[in-house]
Amino acid sequence: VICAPVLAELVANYRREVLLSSALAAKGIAVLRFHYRGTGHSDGSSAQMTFDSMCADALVAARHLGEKAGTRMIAFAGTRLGGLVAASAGAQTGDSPLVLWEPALDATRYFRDVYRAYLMNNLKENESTSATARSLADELSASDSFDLLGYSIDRPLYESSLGRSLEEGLGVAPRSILLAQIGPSQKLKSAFADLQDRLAARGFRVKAHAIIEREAWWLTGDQWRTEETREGTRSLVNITSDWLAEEFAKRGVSA
Amino acid sequence: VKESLEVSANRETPAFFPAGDNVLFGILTQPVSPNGNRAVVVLSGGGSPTSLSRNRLSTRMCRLLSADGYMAMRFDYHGVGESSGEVGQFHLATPFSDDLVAVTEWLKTNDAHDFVLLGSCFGARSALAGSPFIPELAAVVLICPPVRDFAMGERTSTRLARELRLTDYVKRALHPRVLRKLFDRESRKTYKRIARAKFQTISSRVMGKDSFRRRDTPADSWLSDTFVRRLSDLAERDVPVLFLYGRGDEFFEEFEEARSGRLGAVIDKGRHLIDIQTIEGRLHGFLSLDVQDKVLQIIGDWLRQRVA
Repeated sequence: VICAPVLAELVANYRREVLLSSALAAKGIAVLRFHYRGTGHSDGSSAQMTFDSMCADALVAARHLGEKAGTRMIAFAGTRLGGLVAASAGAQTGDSPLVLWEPALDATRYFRDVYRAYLMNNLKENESTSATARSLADELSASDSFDLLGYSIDRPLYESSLGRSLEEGLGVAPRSILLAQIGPSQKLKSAFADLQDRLAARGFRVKAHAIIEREAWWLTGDQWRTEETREGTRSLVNITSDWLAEEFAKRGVSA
Repeated sequence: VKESLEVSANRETPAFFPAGDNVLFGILTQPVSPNGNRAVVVLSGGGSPTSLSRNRLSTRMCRLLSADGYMAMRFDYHGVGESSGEVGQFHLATPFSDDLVAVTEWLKTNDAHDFVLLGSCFGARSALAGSPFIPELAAVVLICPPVRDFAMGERTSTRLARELRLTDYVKRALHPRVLRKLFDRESRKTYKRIARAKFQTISSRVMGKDSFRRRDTPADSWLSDTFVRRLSDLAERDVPVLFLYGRGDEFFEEFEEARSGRLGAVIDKGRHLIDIQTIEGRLHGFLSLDVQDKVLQIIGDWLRQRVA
């Protein structure tokens, strides 16, 4: 089950998820992609969306995939905020393998980063910079939603996400995790390296990869290229599909 | 607008259909109460090219229009989203008219009789480019259509090439900030692109394709010929057209500039059917919720008025 990111990142990651699904299907692994309530092609309004509703949607998707494909084991994959959702949903389904693409390590920091993208865009467009001393919390204290570059950040999602961390969401049962960093550096950033160490100490089997790719989740620049032509995307898809096929094989789940 | 969004996903059907060698993906929203088997095709811009568009604007657009009695179809271009194939580049000189025609052909097999095309930016240019191949056109809505031809990522470099003189370039190139940025690989790529665009502009002048050499060449030779021709065709076919821009859009400035030349003549000729509406600020890219709501409102009102 692929847990998509949200807001602008849903669109930025869309094709990569499609390519991953095709690669997995080619290996005989059934995949389900879905849009959370209030996002994409699904029903509902973003104003009703919460972190819990996102996790519940992921579990509904997993159940649906189980029924449709008759699968015995379900892995979860998530990107950015979807990584937190995948971790939490996966924790409720035994020791299912987990794929994390550039995951948000905690939701508070995630929303702070998203707000920074907004400030950076304002700077780029030479608009007022008076908001630099403000935070998303300040913006949402005065209103139920905040218009962030044409995306609505609604208070229910924001407030229900605060304090959620990836490590906590993973639960206590150790699992196999593929952690992919997507960025300009070959070296794993310290936050991911530390996470890997801490999880290993808790018995999780974490394999980490640094995928070299200039990714602008929010601000697309002049360097736009199709995903198919990106070396980073190809590596990401190959590494992920190979790793998942291996994990399923280890558990005796054949394609 | 909000009430119209109550139209739910269970009125929608995902579809896969052929377009040349590719298979395209789209979602058809059935009308709440049908309005003469009329279908709207929503074409996204190149910056957010999936069938969602920014903040699922295309989803909201389709659901809004289905409440007005239209079948509404949003789709992924080839190589985008769920569709097969690969996109080489988004270039306004070669928009995806084949994809659009494939969508309308598929809609015809689903009882659609005539069409409203609704596109933004690259999608607007695809709508214009595809219009001659769709005889059953009821209306065309063009949101922020660029009037020049350029590839995605080359908007600024090609605009500067047109607006700045060579001496301006040299002055800019010697600015300390620019020199500092030469150490950055990505910045070097950008500068290379800017230099290439200027070189192409100068060569086309030297080769006599611009007014520098040939006095009979129109001053608006930077304007897309296809754009003018397709709009002229629509005027001759009596198809209502809505242009919708933000007054702060760079593309609107160019549109206004172009109206003093050949484009203006076409718009004058079709003035009883060509409407131009603008909103305050920037519209291109739908970068605010307020702009998105205004766009939904304006399009809904215009279609109710023009395509009763």
